This record gives sequence, structure tokens and C-alpha cells, in this order.
Amino acid sequence: MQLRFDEKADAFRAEVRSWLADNTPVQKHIVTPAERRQRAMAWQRSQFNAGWAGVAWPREFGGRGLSLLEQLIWFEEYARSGAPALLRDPLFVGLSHAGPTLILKGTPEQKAFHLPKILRGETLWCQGFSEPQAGSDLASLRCRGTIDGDELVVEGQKIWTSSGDVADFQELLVRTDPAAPRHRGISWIICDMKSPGITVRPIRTMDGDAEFCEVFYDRVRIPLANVVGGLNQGWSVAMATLSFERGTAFIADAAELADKVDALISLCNNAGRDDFLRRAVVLKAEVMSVRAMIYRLVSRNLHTDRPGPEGSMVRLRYSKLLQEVHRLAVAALGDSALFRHRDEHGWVHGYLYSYSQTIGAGTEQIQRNIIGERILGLPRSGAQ
Amino acid sequence: VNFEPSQDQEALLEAVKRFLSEQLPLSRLRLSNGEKAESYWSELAGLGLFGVAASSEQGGMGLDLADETLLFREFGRHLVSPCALATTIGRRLASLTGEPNLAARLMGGESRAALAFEYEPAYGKDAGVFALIDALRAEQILIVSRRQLSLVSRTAFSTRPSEEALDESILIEKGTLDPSASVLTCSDTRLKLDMATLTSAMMVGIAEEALNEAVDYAKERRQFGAAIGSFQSIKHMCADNAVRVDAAWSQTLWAALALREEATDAAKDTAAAAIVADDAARHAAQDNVQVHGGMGFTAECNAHRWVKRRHVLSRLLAHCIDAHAILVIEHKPEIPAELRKKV
Repeated sequence: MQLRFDEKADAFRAEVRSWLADNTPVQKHIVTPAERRQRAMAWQRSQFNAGWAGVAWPREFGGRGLSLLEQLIWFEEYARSGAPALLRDPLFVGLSHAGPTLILKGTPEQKAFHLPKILRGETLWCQGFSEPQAGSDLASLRCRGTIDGDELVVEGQKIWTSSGDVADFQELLVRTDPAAPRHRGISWIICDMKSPGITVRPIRTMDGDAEFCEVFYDRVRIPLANVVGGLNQGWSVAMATLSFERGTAFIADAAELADKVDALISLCNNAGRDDFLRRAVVLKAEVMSVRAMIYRLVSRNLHTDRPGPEGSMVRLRYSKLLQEVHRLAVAALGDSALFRHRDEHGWVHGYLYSYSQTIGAGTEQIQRNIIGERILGLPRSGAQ
Repeated sequence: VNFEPSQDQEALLEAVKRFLSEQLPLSRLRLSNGEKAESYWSELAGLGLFGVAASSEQGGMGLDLADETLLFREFGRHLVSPCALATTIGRRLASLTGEPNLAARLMGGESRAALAFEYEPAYGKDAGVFALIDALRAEQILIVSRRQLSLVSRTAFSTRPSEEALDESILIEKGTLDPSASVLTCSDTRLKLDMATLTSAMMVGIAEEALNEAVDYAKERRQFGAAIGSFQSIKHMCADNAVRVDAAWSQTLWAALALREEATDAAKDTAAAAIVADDAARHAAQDNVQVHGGMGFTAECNAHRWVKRRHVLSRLLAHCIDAHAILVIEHKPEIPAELRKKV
């Protein structure tokens, strides 16, 4: 057992740190979705050019071919450098979800075409999983994909699609066999967002942004060659990466949260509220434990190619803590929280945004089901 | 970075687990009023478990805090007497203060140490009185305070007839210390942090076993025609505790490794471990009583044991380190000194 990194890893860290120090772009404040897209892509491009994109991705697709440990170091240093926050990075779906899914389940052609583009920041991906009638009960999704020759004809609707209005591709779940048991009639397909018949409508959110959308499909034709992991195998493809969606990127989120907790302690001190201060210190201990959970998880996963359900535990603890930190900050701000100051930590905006964290990517209730059933082995409830 | 136990560590753990489940089943506690540590103490010592971190020249295993942390988690699961903590740390204290003979006797099981801390009464009386934890057969007493750790002969304490203790599986006495007694004192911060980490490891063991009991029961017990573990009110309670346990164990291991490697933030890491391990044990223990329903409220069911032992260890942690203060004092320098005192 060892906490320390070895010399090779330390050298890698030094290299990462110095590159980030010289190249991290200056952050500016809120922009339109199109500007956000452009900025994220340019930043990804410069990471790629310097050889930092996809640290743990295979070399053949433009990655660096290193281990999860180097990936962890990259994200740790990334957060430390003050580079643009990963939490709301519009390239996140491609880099941390669709990309890893393709690596695991894609055909050689799909990998060769898409993976380098994702890494170079040339394509932006969005997710098409949830539907108005299929939220937590994702397997009840109805969006239809009917085979017609060598194409699927897609008809239906998706919702809560972040960056849907500026995306190039979408990881899309459709029902391709309505007669099969519900988990076995779903396919995971690559949808070109420029296909005729797609209509995207942005939805305004409670934090004032318009980052997610609903997407309508009116006889959208998608080649069968875009099916990933086999026709009607979509459920297992989606589950392969859903449980540890953010992967090692979580360490960057946890590091950002650790900074926020330190700021929160100062804030509570300034507010002169000992009761708040004491709660803030407990939150600090809890946030530190999230870092330890991620390290231990990565250490366990170093020799396995796919993450287990343990990622749900990190996800659940992290998202609850993110909310508690912001809720306490808003309480400590007192009257100042009546306005959306764009202060350094963006407390009020972050507070509003944090409500999404226990809903998106599986609600906290769904995460608890996963932990209870897949980790603790408790029986499933009757209504499934 | 590597959080996985080595093959040697796995082998040691296997042997210890086997011994503990054969010799120290929880059922032993039902028969006794006061821990009958006598029967297993010499055997634990015989396995070398009080000298894990002692060098081989001292007759120990030559291992370190990480190995001890793995071990104390198992001790926690079996509700081994807190004397194991006192004896392990007492041995090191004796060794550090130039008492190799005492150290050897503690390691070998000929002498046993028990814990004591200055009793802080909520009602004003009993000032200057110590609480002695399971000291019936102890020869030495390890006095724990935030300033220092001290080792003193059991005979230096005069104790009163014991009142009924919250945790009846161990004896808790009140005693006064003879001011003229000779005391071995060590104000080495590292020793105290190590002690806090091993206590956190015991807390994790308690949390895990309490959770396991709750989960096992929730799979078996049927109401409304279904196992109660299929109901989300029960399932989610267990899931939350699984997360707390995972966090607590991860942070405790982190603290042990940080201390061993003398990392800059080791004190903070230890303080965080103490906070999250105590939290995990408290929640897992109390929810286990709830999941067991009426059975959980009986003395026959084990559920109450985790609640009570966690409470004792929680007081010990509070006397050992001020975890909240450590996390604030070691905080970024932007906090003015007068504000740091507030925690």
C-alpha cells in the first residue's frame, strides 16, 4: 500500500503542471451556447496538439495510452491550474461518456471515425437517453427505431439533452424491438444531429441558463452501421459506462469542491457564525473523503477495463456534498444571496445549479437503488 | 498510489480473521457483564498483534501503521476491548520513553494497558476524575489527552465502585490519580495521530458490521409479502450507510498512509478520518437498530452493542484530538488567528 506516487508519476505531474501553467486560457464570464462550444473546442484542440487529450485513451485513436493513474494526475492538476471547470464542459459527453463507450463497444470503423475527432475537439456530443415518459424508468423509453433497408427510421422525442442545440452527434437510445422484454429491445445508436427531421428546442433552467434541450425526431434516417454494440443490445451498452459516468474526471470535480469548501470556511468565519463554521469543517472532512474514495476506486480499477457499480457511491456522496456546500454558503451569505453576484466562487449561481446534481445522470434515488441492489445485494422492489 | 493490500497483508488478515471469528464471536458478550478479555488476551499477544509495528529487533513484526490499520478494523468488527488500542500505543510510548522492558511485557501479553481520559462531566461535579475503560485486568493505564499521552501504573488510580456503564460489555470506572505517581509522558504528535487513526479503523469495523447485520436482516425479514430490503425506505438507508462506510474506510486508509509517509497534510487527513469514521459508525449503528425493529430494541440482538461501543470510542477520539480545530488551524493562512479559535 502506498499513497505517494512513484518518480515516474511525479515527473509526469511536473510536466502536466508546467504545461497547464503556460497554456490555461483566461476564463471569461457567461457566453452564448455557440460561444461556449467554440471556446471549449479551441481549448480541447490545444490540449490535443500538445499531447494531453485522452491521457488514458489508446494511442491508435490519438490518445496517450497511459494508465488511469496518469489520467488521475492530469485531472488533479487540471483542477489545480484553474482551467475551465469540467463540471459543465460541453465536450464532457464525448470525452467522458460516448468516447469510452465507443472504445469498449464500438466497431473498428466507428472508433476510427469518431474517437480522433472527439479528442481533437472537432465534434461535440450530446446524450439522448431520457424521454418525457422515461426518466428514472429509463428502460420504458418509447422513441422508435424501425428498420428500413440498411437504415433505422427514428420517430419520437428525447428530453434533458445538454448542449443539444450545438451538438454534432448524439448517443441515442431507441426501441428497435417493441415485442422484446423492455431491456432487450433497445439499441444504442450514433445520431448525426444535422440529419433531416431533427428539431431541437432549448429549455430554460432554474439557474437561468439554457443548456439543455428537448429533441424531436420526425422520420430521421440513421444508417444501421451507426448501431453500437449490436442491435437490441443498447441497454447493456448504456449500463457499461453509466455507473461511473465521470470516471477519473471526478477527481477534478472533487478538487474544485475542496477549494470551494475552503472558501466556505472563510465565508462562515467572516459571517461570524460559529454554528455555520462547525458545519463547514465537517463538510471539509467529508469532501476530503471523496478524494480518498476516488483514489481507492482508481487503485482498484487499474487492472480492470470497465468500472463497477462502486462509482455510484462516489457519485452520490459527491452530489450531495456539492449541494450541502452551496446551501450552507447561501445561508452564510445572508442578504447578499438575494443577488446573483458573479463573485469568484459564484455561490448563488452554483447554489441554483447544484439542484441538478442529484437529478441528472440518475437521480440520487436511482443511485441508492443501484448501491442497494448491485453492491449490497438487496432484493429489487416489486414494481419493476 | 496503491490502496490494495499486499499478499503478505492479505495473509496476515486471513489468519487474524479466522482467529477472531473462532475465538471472539459476538455471542461471547451475552454471557458476561464486563468483557472477559482474560481468555483471549494472551492469544492475541501470542499472534504478535500488539507488536505489529515493533521492529524485529524488539521482537515485533516490523510492519507499520498501514498494517495496524487493517488489523484494528477487524478488532472493531469483533468488538475487541479498547485495551488493544491502549496496549498497542502504550507499547510504543514505553519504547519511545526508554522503557524497553515494559514495552516487551505489553507486547508479550504479560502486561495489559487500558485507556483512561479525564472525565468531563456535563453537570459540574467530578472534576479531576478519570474514566477508566475496561481496566479490570490492566496493569498499566494509558491516559489520553489532547496535549499528551501518558502511561502510569494501574495502582496509581484509586477507583470507586463502578456505576452502571453505557456500554455494559466493558467495565467503565471513575478513578482519581495519585499526584505523586511516576508517569511516562510522550507529547509526540505522531503517536496521538496514529492512535486516532487506529480508533477510526475500529469505528469503520463497527460501521461495517452494523451495516452487514442490517443488510442480512433486510434480506431475510418479510413483511407485506416481501423482504423488507426490497422497500426503498430500508434499501436507501442501507445504501447511504454503504457510502458512509466506503468514504470512512477510504479516508482512514489515506490517513494511515499519509502518516506513514509523513505527508504534509497528514494531521488534517487524520482529523478528517476521525470525523467521517465516527459519522459512519453512528449512522450505521443507529440505523441497524431501526432496521431490526422490535428485535433491534432487545438486549438479545447485537444491534445495541455497535451503538454503545461507538459511543465509547467517540469519546476517546474527542479526548485524543480536536479534529475540527486541526482542520481549521491547518487551513489556508487567510483565516486570522482570532477566528481560528472559534471552532
